[in-house]
This record gives sequence, C-alpha cells and structure tokens, in this order.
Amino acid sequence: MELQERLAGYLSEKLGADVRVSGFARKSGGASRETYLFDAAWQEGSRTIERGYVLRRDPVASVLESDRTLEFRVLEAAHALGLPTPKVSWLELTSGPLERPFCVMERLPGMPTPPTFPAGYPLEMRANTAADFMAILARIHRADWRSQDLAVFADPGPGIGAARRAVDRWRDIYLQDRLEPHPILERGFGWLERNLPSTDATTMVHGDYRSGNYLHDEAGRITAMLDWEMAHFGDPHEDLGWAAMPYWSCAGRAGGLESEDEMIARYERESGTRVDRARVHFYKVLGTVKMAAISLTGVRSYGDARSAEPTLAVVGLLLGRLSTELLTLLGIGAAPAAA
Amino acid sequence: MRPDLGDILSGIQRLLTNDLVPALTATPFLAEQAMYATLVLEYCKKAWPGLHLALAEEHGDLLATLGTAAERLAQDSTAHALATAIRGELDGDVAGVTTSTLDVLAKRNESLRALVSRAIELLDAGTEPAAGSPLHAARATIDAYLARHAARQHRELELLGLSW
Repeated sequence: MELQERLAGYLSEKLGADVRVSGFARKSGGASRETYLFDAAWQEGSRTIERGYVLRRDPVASVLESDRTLEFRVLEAAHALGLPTPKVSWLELTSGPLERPFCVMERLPGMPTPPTFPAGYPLEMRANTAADFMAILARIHRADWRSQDLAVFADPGPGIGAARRAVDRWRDIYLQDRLEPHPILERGFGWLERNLPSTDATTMVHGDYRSGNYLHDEAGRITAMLDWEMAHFGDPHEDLGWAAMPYWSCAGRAGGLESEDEMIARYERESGTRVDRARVHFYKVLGTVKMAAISLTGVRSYGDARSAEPTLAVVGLLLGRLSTELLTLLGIGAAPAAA
Repeated sequence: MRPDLGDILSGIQRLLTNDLVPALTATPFLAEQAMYATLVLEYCKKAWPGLHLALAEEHGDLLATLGTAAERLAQDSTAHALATAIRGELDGDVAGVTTSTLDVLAKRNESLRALVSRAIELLDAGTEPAAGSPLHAARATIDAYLARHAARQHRELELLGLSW
C-alpha cells in the first residue's frame, strides 16, 4: 500500500472518520527526517473539516539521529508557552502504521528559506526577519520551560556542566560516526576542552536556531520556528553562537540577515541580558565541530549504503568549508609547505 | 581508452538531466535528488584527473610534517614514546606514490593522519606547551599542517562549485 493510503488509514482510525489525504508531496531539506506536506479532509457531522499537515517520518538513515519523543515533548511545551511552533497532532513511536516512527503536525503558513537568508530579497523583508529572529530567540530563552512537564530533559544547571555536556555529546557522535581521522576536528575538540565556559543560568536551547529553520510571510515576518529535535537545557549563548556561525553566514551577515554585532545588540535589547562575546565565540567553535559531526553522520550513512541521497555526499564535501572556518575561529592561519 | 571515465560520467549526467529529471516533474523531491546526483557527478569528473596528485601531495606533506614533529617531540620526555612510534611508521613507509594505487595511497594517508591525531591528543592532554619549548614547536608544526590540509580540502570543495 502506498504511503499516502496508509497515512489516510491511520488518520481515519485516529479521528474516527473517513479521512481523505490529498496534495501529498515529499519536501526537500529536513535532512534529519523525511518531511511530507499534505491536506486532510473529513466530515464532522454536517461540517467538512479541511486542514494542512506536515508528516515527519524517521528516515532509514539521516544526518542526525535524534530522539522523537524529546522533540514531541519540547514542541508540546513550546506550543503551550505561546511560541510560534507547529502543534503536534499525533506521535507514533511504533513502526507499524508507516514502517518507521513519525509525527504529524499542523502546517503553519509561511515560506521556508535556505540556510542563509537570500541576498536578493528586499531589504525591508530582511530587516523584518532579522528583528523577529532575535525577538523569538529571546522569547524562547525567557520562557518558563520549568513550568512544563519536561522531566525527561536533564538540566546541567549553572557552571561548566552545560558546555561540558555539549562537548561530550558531539565528540561522542564524531567518534562514533567518523570513517577516518579528522585531525582538524580533533584540534577543535581539544580547544573546546581547554576553554569550557561557565554559565550562570541555563534555559531551553533550541539547538538548531538558524536561517533555514523558520517560515516567514511575504513581509519577512517569521510565522514559525521549526526543527526542535536538538533542543535541550543549556547555555543560551549556544543558540547565539550557532546562529552566528560562519557556516550560515553570507557577505558578513549572520544567517544572511545582519552583522553579528547587530544581531547580538538586538538580542540584548530583546532579552534584557548582557551577551558574553567570549561565550558566543566558544559556541561558534562548538557549532562548527557539531556541524562537522552531523555531516559525518550523513557521510557514514552514505558510505555504509544506508542512504542513496546524493545530498549526503555533498554535505560530506562541505567539511572542507567547516575545516577552514574552524581553523580561522581558532586563529590557526594558512602556512607554507612543510620544510 | 574511450569511453574514458569523463565520457561515462558525462553520459550518466546527460541521462539524468535530459531524460530522468523531466520524467520526474510529478515528484519534485526525486527530481531534486537527480539534480544533486548530476552535481556530484560533475565533482567526480573534475576531481578524478587530479586525485592521484592530490593524494601524493598530502602524502608528502604528512611525511614531512610527521618527520619534523617527531624530532621535536623526541626532545620532551613525555612525548618520547609517540616520537618513537612516528619514526617507526615513517621508517616503514614503503608507499611509493607513483607505484601505489589510489586506494592504497588513500589508506596510507589515513594511517599517517591518525598519527597527527595522536600528536594532537598528546599536546592537548596537559597544559598548553610553553613558548619556546619543544612541544610548542611541535604544536606549530602540526598546526601548519592542519592549515595546509584545510586548504587542500577547500580546493576540493571548489571543484563542487557550491558556495554561498
């Protein structure tokens, strides 16, 4: 049976009605989950209900192996806290209905962007997106996450625990998924070990807060923040460092939106907190090795023949960019040939 | 010999672009994957002719870097064992770059790169080496290699023709 038909059967069972699924199409991007858009229609008494949904199904192999339950819990909490996130309608952890675990969430209005905001878009639109981008981040960090049922998320608390845990997590993934030694990344992990910063307060960190992971309207106003699968309690500087990483930057604009200085000044105004630039730098280094580790997970999937998606090969080749950016962040410059 | 590798890869690209992609208009995701496949094939076409030279360049760099690093590490008692291990590996290096196949050379480079990783691990284990010390000099040698290695990776990436 086709995936679309199986989905219609699943929804019919959940809603106790005959659900028709139309416009079912796989969407590109979303490298950690297979993403499909579709419309569902069913009768409730004499009324016809029509809604747009997004199906996110675990892939056979991906660039990121993350916990579906954690993502579901954090999305539920974010929605309850009034943050612009899609409402998750169904979570299915078994592989019976659609062969692999999945969740179905409401489709919010708005257009996606690539990982850097397109330079050709109107300036006013870019300004609106830049303003919303930091305003929403400040809201995420200020929100009362501890009022939600998020006991499954361990909170490292103040001190160096947040940085320690982040470095350990991504080094473990690197060591698990590398197919060969990458001395440049190892130099990066060594630097991180020596420079673990302390945080005075932890909050929910989105974990993948960047251009490419939000929807916006025609005026550039952000309508939804997506891709929460790496959310965790940690240092809020982690999201700033990730958003400002050179990898997502273009023409000196973080995320293609505005300069890092402008972005940080805006965050300070919105959050009412002072940003520690040294910590932003630390988390840019961490973000760069994290992105490399994520890429290597994809390369392993490709090399092990668990995935045939050529995008994973491309992601692997982009390690060349990450290596250069990492060394620049560490202050290690180009050198002449070895004597 | 014709068809050579370039002919074959070009043929597959034409098949994807002219025949498969137009047939996949109803499934944009698959059409996009096919376009990515042509991008990767273009990279293969550009990378293949220079691959042996690139591996040979890296091999030479690794031998020179590790030779210099071993000399410097040998001057510090905490790094003696690693210096000896590196020298042992280098003495046993019989991978003639002109006579080795690509896979053999790539594997050999991988082994030598693992020694660079071990040197980094050792240098990161204690406090940052003091300026002027043999370990500091070894660190500088390794860092210079890393910068050249990144430059080589970047050259590879340029062949892909994807930038932002």
